[in-house]
Amino acid sequence: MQWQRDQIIALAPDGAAAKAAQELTARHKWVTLDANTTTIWGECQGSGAKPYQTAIDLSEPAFKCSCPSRKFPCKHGLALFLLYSQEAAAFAQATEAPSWVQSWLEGRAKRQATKAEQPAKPAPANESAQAKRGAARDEKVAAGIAELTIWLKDLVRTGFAEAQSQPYSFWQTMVARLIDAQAPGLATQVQTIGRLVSSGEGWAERVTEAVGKLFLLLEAYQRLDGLPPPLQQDVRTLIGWHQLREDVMSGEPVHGRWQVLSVNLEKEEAIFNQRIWLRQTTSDRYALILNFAHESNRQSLDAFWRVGAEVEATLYYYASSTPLRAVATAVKTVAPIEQLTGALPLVSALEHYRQGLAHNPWLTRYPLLLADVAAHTLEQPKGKVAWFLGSEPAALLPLSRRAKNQWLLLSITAGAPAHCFGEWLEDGFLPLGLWSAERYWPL
Amino acid sequence: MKAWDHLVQQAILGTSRQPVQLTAHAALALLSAQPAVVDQEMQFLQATALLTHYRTAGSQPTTQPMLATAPRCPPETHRPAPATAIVTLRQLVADNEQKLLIEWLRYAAQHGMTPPPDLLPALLEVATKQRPVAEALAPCLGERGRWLMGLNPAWSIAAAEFVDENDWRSGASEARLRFLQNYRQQDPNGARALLESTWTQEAAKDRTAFLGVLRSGLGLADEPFLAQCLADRSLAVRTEAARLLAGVVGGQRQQALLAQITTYITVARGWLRRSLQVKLPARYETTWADLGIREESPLGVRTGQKAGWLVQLLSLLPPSVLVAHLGVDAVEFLEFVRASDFAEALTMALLEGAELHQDHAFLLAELNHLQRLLTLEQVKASEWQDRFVRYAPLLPTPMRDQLLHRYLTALPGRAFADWTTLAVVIRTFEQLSLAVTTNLLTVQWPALLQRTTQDYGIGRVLIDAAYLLAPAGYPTAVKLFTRPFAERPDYIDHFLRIYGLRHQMEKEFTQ
Repeated sequence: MQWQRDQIIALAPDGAAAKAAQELTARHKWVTLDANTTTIWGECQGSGAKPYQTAIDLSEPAFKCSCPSRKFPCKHGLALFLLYSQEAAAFAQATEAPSWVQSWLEGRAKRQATKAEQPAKPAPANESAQAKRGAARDEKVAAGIAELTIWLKDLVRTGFAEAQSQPYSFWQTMVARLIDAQAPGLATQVQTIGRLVSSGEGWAERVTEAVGKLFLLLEAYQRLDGLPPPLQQDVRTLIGWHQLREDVMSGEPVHGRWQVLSVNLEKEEAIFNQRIWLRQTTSDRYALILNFAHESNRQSLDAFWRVGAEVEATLYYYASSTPLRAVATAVKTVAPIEQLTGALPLVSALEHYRQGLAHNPWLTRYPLLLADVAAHTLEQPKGKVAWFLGSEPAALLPLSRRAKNQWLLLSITAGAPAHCFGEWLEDGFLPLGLWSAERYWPL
Repeated sequence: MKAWDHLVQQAILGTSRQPVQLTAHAALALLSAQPAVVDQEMQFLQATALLTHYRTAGSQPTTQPMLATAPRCPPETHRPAPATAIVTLRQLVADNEQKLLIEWLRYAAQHGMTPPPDLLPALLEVATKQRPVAEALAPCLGERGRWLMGLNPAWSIAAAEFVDENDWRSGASEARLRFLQNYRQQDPNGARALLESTWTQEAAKDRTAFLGVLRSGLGLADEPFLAQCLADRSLAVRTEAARLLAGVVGGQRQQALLAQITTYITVARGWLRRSLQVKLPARYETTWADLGIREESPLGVRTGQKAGWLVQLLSLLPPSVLVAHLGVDAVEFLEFVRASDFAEALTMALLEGAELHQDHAFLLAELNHLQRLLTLEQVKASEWQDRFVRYAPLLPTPMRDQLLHRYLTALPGRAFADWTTLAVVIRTFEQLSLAVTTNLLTVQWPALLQRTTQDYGIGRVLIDAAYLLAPAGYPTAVKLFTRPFAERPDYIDHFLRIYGLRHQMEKEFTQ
């Protein structure tokens, strides 16, 4: 699997490192450039007499450099990777790695083996203190919910038209109260409603839907004990309780081979949200890996996912009535996707979503793999064009307003039907990848 | 769904203005099973929650009988670009490297290749904003690209080659001019006939510009129309027509002009050598006014009145026509002119005529003549450079390149006083040949670098050069800049990066 330049640039810890790395891609800067099947290494002439020794284990990728930079990966590592992606032929094929590469690889293998043998031991918990903290939070959340219910009723009483003329502080005050009440999930939903109020044509319908879903959530929380445990977990997650990674990883592991169907980076204010969709090759199981990072430091985002690749990995699902979010461990890229199976006709795909909704009424951004669909357009007033995806005019899905890649989709498929993967959102389908001309294309 | 529409309407107005009245709906039947709610707002919120969920779960594929199904794309006739070249193209698009992008597209067009489909939308977007990219993209769009462009009206502007007759009928002046230029290349007579058909309706400014298009492929067939234009109400049109007529080889007007000029200028044969005989016109001919010749010497002609008329007459004619008529060699003729009493004014007039009619042979003779004087140290290098820079855009690239190469070889390490002079000369090229590149990198640049690396503007010059040097010269450039520098300036790496990318591109397409 070849790494693309933009994927490598995305590994940079910041813009300055990315820029510096590009300047270092001049061949003459490198005294040596070598590679074997899994590792590349080179020596880069810096300001000192001795060149910096840089190596990359391509299976992850993992970086090693002798330079003193605290950035990771450093500009030398990125530059070496960029050079390899641009001009692999410039790397001499070595049968044996030099000792400094060998010892690094051995050290890594040793550390990984130790880690695998000794699963992380959770710190002994102080159960009574934990229970006390839990009860206090429950109390705070209950108070927040009571306040939000009153606020929602006021909103309904005065009408959404009135809400359109409210200042930013009207929404922010409620958001701040919910954060104080330790219900950040509810705060996000109020913030979303505030944005939808001024979202243009169709805003009233969108606000009504969002208010409806929020109210259902508040009602569900009031009746939490009567709900099935997995749904209780969904309600708590939506309100703002986090499931700890350690807890998730103490659950049932799902080993297997997974197809990487999309890797997307979304940005909301200063926060990057990385969404990686996987599909197991031997089942119709999907998994969503979510990572978050502040724009000033993107190191917590995963760099090793390659759309169109198949990976061996062990996944642990977050508890949910419709398990989708997961943590992935021991990920190893093995091959490009050679066949995309499991695509469903449009009606069956929506039926899947409906089944999910029966378990979890707040289910959103649901993964759909549609079989043999083509893009169609419909002229709208004011010169606008509405896009649809389907196999015939009688069965079409509208594309979401968030979809910006319709032309890309059309260009890759040349108008022919293709299997298309994407998310089903409130307002339509968001295409994220497709299978055309015997290969998988990210969108 | 009536119940939902009703609910949204209530939501907009608010329960205080419009009391809740729920429309009968299956989903709302659940509410009746709940304990009665007196609170209007609560009743509304419950109904909203239920109906929202009902609608979400009930999403069905829609039917659009009016749907336009895009026509399928015809099979691709272009070959895909090599995988390594595609990697480079992705980088160029991401970095918005316009010049290199154009070079990549030209390579693709040259090899009958096309960019990959997933980059076409991005390229078409760039092409709508940057005309040179559109021009380079058009020949390598392939069936897929053209099909895609036909579907999106916003991209039609990207089709630089696709200006059509509609543009001529209803387009802006620039598009009409472009159409006429393209048409003239394909069918000179057809283009002239088209211009004649709308001539009387055109504004004077457009008439002048459109008439200039006839310079390409100018021939005897254009003479009648140009002769008519001599009576145009606009002086600019009349002058342009007169100049064009003087350029029609074998045309009546050219012959008449030549006959007049050769009554004033002749080559006399003496015992040992020949010389130029110049006789000034005795009076101003009224017919000269039609040719745009002024009775008073125009600004810039520093001669007497009579010499001024001769200078103006001479500047209308392609000098090669005069030289051929006089039966002398162009370089020799220039020597006669320089030895005459009117050396400066006549040389200026001849060169003006050569520029006007793009008389390559004569311009080349002038530059060769200067080169000879340069070798004899009778003129300064700067004089040759000034002339070269002025005439280079008019000369075909191989001729230009040959001239520069001869100049560089004649002055090893001394061709340029500084980096700025070098820049002025090489910027007249779109691309330098390998011979010129090698000379610059192995002879001229080492000499310049030895003088200084701190020269003002050197960085800018190197970056410009990175786009102009022949890609095959890159390894020589690497060798040149691997020598130790007391403090290695950043611009060297920048230069090598750009030049390296061009070298890489050439390899990707040719290997």
